[in-house]
Amino acid sequence: MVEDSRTTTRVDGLRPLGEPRPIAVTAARDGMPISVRWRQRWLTVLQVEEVWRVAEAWWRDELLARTYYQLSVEDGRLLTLFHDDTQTADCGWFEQRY
Amino acid sequence: MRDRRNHWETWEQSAARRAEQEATTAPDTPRSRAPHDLTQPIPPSVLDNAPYVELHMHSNYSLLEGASHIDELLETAEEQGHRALALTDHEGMFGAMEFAQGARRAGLRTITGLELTVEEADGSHSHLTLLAETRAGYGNLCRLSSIAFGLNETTDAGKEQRRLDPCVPVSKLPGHAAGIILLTGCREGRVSQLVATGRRREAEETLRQYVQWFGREQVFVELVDNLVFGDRPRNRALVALAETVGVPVVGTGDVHYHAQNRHRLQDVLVAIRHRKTLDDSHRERRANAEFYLRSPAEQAKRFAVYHPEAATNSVRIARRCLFDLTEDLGYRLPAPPVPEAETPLSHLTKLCRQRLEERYKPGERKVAHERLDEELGLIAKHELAGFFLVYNEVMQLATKVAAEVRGRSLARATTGLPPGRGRGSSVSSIVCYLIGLSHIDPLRNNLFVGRFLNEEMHSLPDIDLDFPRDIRKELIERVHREWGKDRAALVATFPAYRIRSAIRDVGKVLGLPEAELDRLAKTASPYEHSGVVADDLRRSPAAGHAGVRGWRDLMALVSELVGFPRHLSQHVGGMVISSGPLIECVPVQPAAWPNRYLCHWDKDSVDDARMVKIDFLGLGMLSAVEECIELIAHHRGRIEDLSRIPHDDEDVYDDICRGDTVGVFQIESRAQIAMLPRTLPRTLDDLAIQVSIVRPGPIVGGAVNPYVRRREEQRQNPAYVPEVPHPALHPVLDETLGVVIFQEQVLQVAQILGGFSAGEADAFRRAMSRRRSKEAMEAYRERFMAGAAARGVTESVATTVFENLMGFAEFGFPKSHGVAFALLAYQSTWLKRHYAQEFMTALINEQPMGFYPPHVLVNDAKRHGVEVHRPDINVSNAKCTVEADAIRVGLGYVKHVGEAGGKRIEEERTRGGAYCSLFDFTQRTGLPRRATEALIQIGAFDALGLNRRELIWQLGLFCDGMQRSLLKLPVERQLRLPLPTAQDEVSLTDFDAYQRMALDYTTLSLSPDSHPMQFLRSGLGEGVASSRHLRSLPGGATVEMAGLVVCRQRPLTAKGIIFLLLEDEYGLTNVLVSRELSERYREIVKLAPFVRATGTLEQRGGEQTTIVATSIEELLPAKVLAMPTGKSWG
Repeated sequence: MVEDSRTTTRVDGLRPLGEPRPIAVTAARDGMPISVRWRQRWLTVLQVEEVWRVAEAWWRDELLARTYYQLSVEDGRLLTLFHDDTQTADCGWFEQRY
Repeated sequence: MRDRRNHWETWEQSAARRAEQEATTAPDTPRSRAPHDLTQPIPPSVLDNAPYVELHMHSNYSLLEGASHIDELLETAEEQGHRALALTDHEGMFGAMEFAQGARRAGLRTITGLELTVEEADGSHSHLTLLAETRAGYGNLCRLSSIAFGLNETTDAGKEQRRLDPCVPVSKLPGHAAGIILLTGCREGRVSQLVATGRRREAEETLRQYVQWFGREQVFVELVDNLVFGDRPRNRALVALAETVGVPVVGTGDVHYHAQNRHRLQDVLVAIRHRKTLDDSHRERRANAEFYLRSPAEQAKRFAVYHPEAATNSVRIARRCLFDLTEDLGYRLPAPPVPEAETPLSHLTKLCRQRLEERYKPGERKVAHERLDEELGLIAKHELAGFFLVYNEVMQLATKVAAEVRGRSLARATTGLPPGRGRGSSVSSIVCYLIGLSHIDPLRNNLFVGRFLNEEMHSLPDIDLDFPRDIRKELIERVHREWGKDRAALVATFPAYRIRSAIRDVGKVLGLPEAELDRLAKTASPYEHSGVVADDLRRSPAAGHAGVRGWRDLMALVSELVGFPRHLSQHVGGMVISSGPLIECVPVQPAAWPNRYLCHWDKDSVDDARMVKIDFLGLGMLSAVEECIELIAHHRGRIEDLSRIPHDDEDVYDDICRGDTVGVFQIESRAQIAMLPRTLPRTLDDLAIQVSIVRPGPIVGGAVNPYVRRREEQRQNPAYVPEVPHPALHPVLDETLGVVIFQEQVLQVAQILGGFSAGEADAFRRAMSRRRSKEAMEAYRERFMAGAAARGVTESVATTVFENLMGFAEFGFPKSHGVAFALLAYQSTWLKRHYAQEFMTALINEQPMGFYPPHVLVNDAKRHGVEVHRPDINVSNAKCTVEADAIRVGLGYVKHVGEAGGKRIEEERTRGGAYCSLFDFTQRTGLPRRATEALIQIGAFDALGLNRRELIWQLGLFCDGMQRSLLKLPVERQLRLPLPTAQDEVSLTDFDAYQRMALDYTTLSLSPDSHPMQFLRSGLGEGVASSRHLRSLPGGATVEMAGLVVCRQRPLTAKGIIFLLLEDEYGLTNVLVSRELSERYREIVKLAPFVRATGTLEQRGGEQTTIVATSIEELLPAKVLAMPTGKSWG
């Protein structure tokens, strides 16, 4: 059983989970990631498993336009990255953790 | 001209003919960008070396889903190098003909298809993409679409459900599979859904089922990749499944718009359809902006990762789909039965000759026979005898229906009225006159037939018929019954978004405040473009938001949305009739109106398909005239036969010349009333010109001022010979004093001066209207100038005449139409002159119609000495009735009561006698409280003795009591007695006169005994003139005038000038507001219910004076009133 902490939940105490984290990527001309810097190592992308694009909230000031990539990299890991399409091709890469 | 042969070919003959054409074309010929021969279909050889063909594409005929016009899709496809395209709109084939015709002009091959929603056995819905490979396949698509929209439903509830949620039960697929190529559908396809959710075995079973129903060669597994999450793994799984079952795969684009930036509009459309805001419609909207039309090369590359043949299979399918809607429709003109040993032509000839003997006196017959022979010759040449016999058959049915409908009333049945009346160019034909399609003798009225029938006709002749509304309603149902729902259907129309509706709908989904949207929409004129509205926005109270994202988006999206079809509706009266099953040619569905069926094409598509379209138009004035005759018979015991009234009644023409024509047919508008005192028509011929001159054609063609001037000259000098641009034009233009007013004159001038043949002249007239092309016009100009030069006409004269003809364009009446309408204009003025009371009663009963709102008609009646009595629960009927010297307003006019409520009050009174108290009334009629309250407010209970406020108080007590006693307690218990107790009784002061007038306008839309200006005048000051006073002032005087705005009009021909029609207690006054002034005071001009205008008086005589405004302001006291808005004519 969880013990009562005797404290009240406060808004400023909430913290979003799974926030995207900036990540360094080298990409081909068509935007496809070639290698990814993961924990101080450059990992080569073996296969792009899935690509999808999201365009949302264009009617708000913070429009959302992202291209997501699900990648198999050389150490066997499956990574999900996205590129923020409102930024230039060489920056705006993030890792999306679930 | 299109090759008529195609309409009589079978599918096999047509396919063989095209195969032969194919064989003569070298297979490796690269597709040429040079303009192709429009008379020839696009050969399959254009597909040589094509990497990909788009087989899944939606236009905006996928209503509130597709976000591009067909033209935009075609233009983009051409730019991107597509060679063929399929249009697969949801369920319907609304745009199929427009697409096929447009693609043919653009040199693209088309595949006709649709995306069908299928109701699976478990009740879930899924999508399939179906393409017509052959003519039989197209017929099956039409049938499936018809089923989806409820054609086979037998109950009203079933029909309504299918109309709102069209889909086909899966069990219907096997019976309609022939000739169709099936693609398994987008993400919403059954197979795709099953694969995506890992139910592979079921997916395989479903796919095998399709193969069994449609045939192995006909089924393709559809891959779509729009960069949506899940597309890649699903496509890989689908490829594996296809290989297992042995079915090929094909890639498609699931295109919803032509360019990527349209994804916003697509999101908006989806949100509108689901009645949600953009924020709330996340689940319904598409995930991204990738549903645009891509180039074939890009698509080929995209699908190469899945399967090497995914792209090329699309080309194979396109090659197989030989069905061409522009060639192979197979519609057959209806062939009515003719007696043995007769041909349609001989039968028609016999019929016409026989009636000619009856209709013409011996002395007239020679000329009549000559004209008849001329027309029959043209009918024979174009093989149109069957076409006319169909109309004859319809008219016989109409005569029967009219006799039945009119038979219910004595006067209408005995006056020998024709069932309906012709309008338009058909009135010029003696054949139409003889078989009863027109009531106007073309010889007596000197009508030229070339506009209706000529040597080189490009499409079927156009015959329009006007009927009183009740006869039309019955006739449409009878035609359905006689021909059957699979052989006769109403023509569709697609009401398009206009600026106001677009502002409201887009604004709502963007989550903008409704009150501000409403204000913005109201200031926008229907035909304005969004740039003007954007300017408005900057000036309006919402200006603070103009730079805010939502408002900025609104303007951009509104301009894209304007012109988009919004929903399917019924054309005003067009019906198509076929000798074969119509649902093999075009899908048919039940209309919202019971017992009516609607085909999926609009009048342009029907015209392109060369289908026989009969226009049964409901003409409100015909109904009003017939009702008036009935009222005269009841009220005065006199039967007036309109076919026998004199056509030279001086009193009637005096009224017309004075412009005292509010409420009469065609010559009642503000512009007409302003012109009548200057043109002073005194004959039916003059009237035919009068109804035709206030039209954009003569106005833009510069005919109006010269005509008015020459009328004046002619009056001063009876020997006046009108000047014409060239002496050769005297015979044609003399009757209109040397200017072009009628469509026929365009044709005749082109023939006489430019040397055009009759067919060329008609083609020229048509070219000026529909999709006017600059190149085509230039070619006609050259042809005209050359012809004129050959006839010795100077270049300057020829240029002037050609410019006048161009200005005229299509937007004018044929003389035949003018003559037909002039007669009704005269008849209605005659009735107003001699039977004002009955005429106004009938007119108000037949609303909506005409130029003026009902309160203006009532005020006009009062000015003509007719008293108007307010509704009374013990005297009024549902409709307005005639009393001794008065009109009694009907109960149906009261807000919340309506015609049904009015009838209930009337019937209960007939059954149980007069109502003796408010309680008696509420108990016996059971009307909702708000309806009874509205009746109290407008004085329908005044005769009971209590004042209106006290009655409203009482009503509260009764209704409260009734709810408890009647609704809540068991029936067997004693009902609560409606005995007021002492504490319930109050003494209240009644509404004052001003409040009563305001309640009249809000609840009845008119006031029987007062006008708002009566109350406002005292506060205006002495300098403000009344309309009565204005009539006595000299032209040029500077005046100030105030009134209720009853009409706002901005004619497209008036260069931004806005006309306001102001009404005060004495009459109507025109106020002309210049563009500068109207832009400065836009909101006042567009929205203010009362205005005060200062300006210069134009004195032209007649009933309505005109003020050219120099300043305009809102009359503020009126702001506290809720006034009916004037009719806005854009």
